[in-house]
Amino acid sequence: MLLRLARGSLFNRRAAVSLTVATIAISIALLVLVEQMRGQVREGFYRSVSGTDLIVGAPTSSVQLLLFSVFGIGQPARNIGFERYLELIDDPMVEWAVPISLGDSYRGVRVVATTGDFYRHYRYAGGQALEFAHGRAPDKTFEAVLGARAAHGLGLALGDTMVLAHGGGNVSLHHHDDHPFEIIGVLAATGTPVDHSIYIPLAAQHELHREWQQGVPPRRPAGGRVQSPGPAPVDRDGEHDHDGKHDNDGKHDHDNKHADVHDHGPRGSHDHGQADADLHAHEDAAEAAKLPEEISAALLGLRTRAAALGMQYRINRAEGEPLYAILPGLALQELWRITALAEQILRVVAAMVVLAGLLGMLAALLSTLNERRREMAILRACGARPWQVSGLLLLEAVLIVVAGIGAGVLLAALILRLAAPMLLDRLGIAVGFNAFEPWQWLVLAVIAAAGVLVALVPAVMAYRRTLSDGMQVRL
Amino acid sequence: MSEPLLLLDDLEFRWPADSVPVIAGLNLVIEAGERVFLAGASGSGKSTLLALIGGLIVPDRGSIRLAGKPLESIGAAARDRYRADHVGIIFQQLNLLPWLDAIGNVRLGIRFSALRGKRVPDPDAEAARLLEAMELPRDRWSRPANELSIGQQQRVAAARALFGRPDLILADEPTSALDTDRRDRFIELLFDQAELAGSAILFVSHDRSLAGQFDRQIELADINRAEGSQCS
Repeated sequence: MLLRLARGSLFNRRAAVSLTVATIAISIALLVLVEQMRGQVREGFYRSVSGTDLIVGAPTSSVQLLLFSVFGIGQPARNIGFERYLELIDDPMVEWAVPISLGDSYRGVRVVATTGDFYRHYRYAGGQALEFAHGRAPDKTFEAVLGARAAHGLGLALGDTMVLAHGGGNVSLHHHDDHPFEIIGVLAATGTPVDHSIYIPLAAQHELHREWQQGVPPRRPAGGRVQSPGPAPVDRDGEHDHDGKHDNDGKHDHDNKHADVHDHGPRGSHDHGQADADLHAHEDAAEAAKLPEEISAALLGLRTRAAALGMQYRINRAEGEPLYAILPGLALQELWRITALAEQILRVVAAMVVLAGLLGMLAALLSTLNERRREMAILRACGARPWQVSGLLLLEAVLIVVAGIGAGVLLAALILRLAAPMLLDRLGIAVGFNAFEPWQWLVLAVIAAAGVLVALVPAVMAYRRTLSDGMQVRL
Repeated sequence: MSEPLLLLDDLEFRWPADSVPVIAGLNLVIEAGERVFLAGASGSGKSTLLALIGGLIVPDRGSIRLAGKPLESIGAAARDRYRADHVGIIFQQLNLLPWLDAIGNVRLGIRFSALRGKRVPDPDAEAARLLEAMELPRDRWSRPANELSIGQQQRVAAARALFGRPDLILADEPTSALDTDRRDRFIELLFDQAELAGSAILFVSHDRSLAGQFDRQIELADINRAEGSQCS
């Protein structure tokens, strides 16, 4: 009965009412987006590490180790010896270990040197394995695999070749143009940072820097060994300054005493499939010779996840070259503690905006109160009790709030859907609209209740006025 | 015929802000189905009297018996329900919810009364019948009230007051915004339908030229002994 009157009255003032609803909707959308993004980013990060039990690197902060090893953010301060990696593989608790070696890039895209184990063992999003959209894993040294977004962003496809640059930025002083890579695989999209990198065999990276000393490439006639760069987009925007000053942070600080061991001459002798460089390749001295001295980090999968804590303890206490092992989940928690303040600020801002939206509704309701005195008197004359008259106002406010919340949630879902490609591009995180958690429903319910509370103000005013006005408005 | 429809016995009422009562020593009896013309200038306590009969306010002294029940002895909510059940009201103007169509405004007459609702098994048909009887053009029935002329609005208001056959129609200057022709036709139609519904009419107006059409004419000044009644 009242509902039909409320609907009619709202429809009558639909222009003003839709503005009020829009105000609330926008504020709710902001609140929902902040929460959704928070949850989605966390979830997205968690997806990337959910299949990894331990990450091992040189001693650093756990957040830094996590960020550079899995998320492609930042650089390792130091590397770990490859022998230590081999020891890790041999540990009976370790089911698989994927080496990660950083330091090169291609047009700003990070190049990750790893082994075939990466394609075989890396898991994301609760156990999903990597799949190839096109091509296959490398079995020759100078073959590269692209992540889905990297392939898309660079506009490269199977069969194209590329020359890597030393260092991480777009502008690099040195290009490894004597060793172009052929793209032989493109990974299917994962919605994780995996999509954003280029993957090359560990042996290839070693080969690129084989003759370097103290992070400096050997003097050689420029372009002396270039083997037909190929038709593909080849990055030639930098100077081939082989005396170049590189970041002498030591990550390419190859031990000189092994230089002879690795001297195999140019490509061709490196056709040993990197995909075969599995767990036991190192036992073969000849194979080991093609492997580097150092890697940036290793991702470990254990036979039982429960062993992770004990294993971490053992690694961190091991003698010799210090290693640092982290549990990715705990490191993420640490990261979230760092970002918590920003999240809280965003939440507070969103809450303020919701409050502003509700106050906007209050202003709109109050402004109509005077012009509606006549209507209230008519209802009174028809026998409406004062509470029914003010109840009508309250009901209208409830309808506005509910419509505003509903529209806000839809708006947030829409924005999220529109923003998803950009987020995937920038952050490598696949976002969708998550179902609300119970507490989030509770927040919306509390907002609705706050809206009703706010609407009580005009309702009470209307109640008092109808009592004093009666059937006649004394103007 | 045991008891009259409306019995006002020695009423006295003073608005809280005023020093003297606006109504005092007022007695009035209206029988069921009777048409009474109450003449009074504005400020003579007309509106106060209607508010008392409608049960919006209670007298400081005296008694109002409407359809057998003393209004001053029941609570405010019960008075509201009693008003909805027994009284149909027509004001001078602006009787209607402006955004609601004519049919919807007529149906408002029983929105708050289960008793009158029971008398109207098919509200839309009855609303249509009343609008037809009040000679509102059919193409206006579904128009919002604010698109109707003043005369049309008053006819809708009359149809609403009659809806569900209340015992008493209170009409407060319902024709003062109408020209003479329309005014006479309006009263004619109102009388016809009130007779059909068995409703008594208390018609308040300062226009004494209408008085001849009623069963009985009363000067408010004659029955209201409040001293300040001419200037409040």
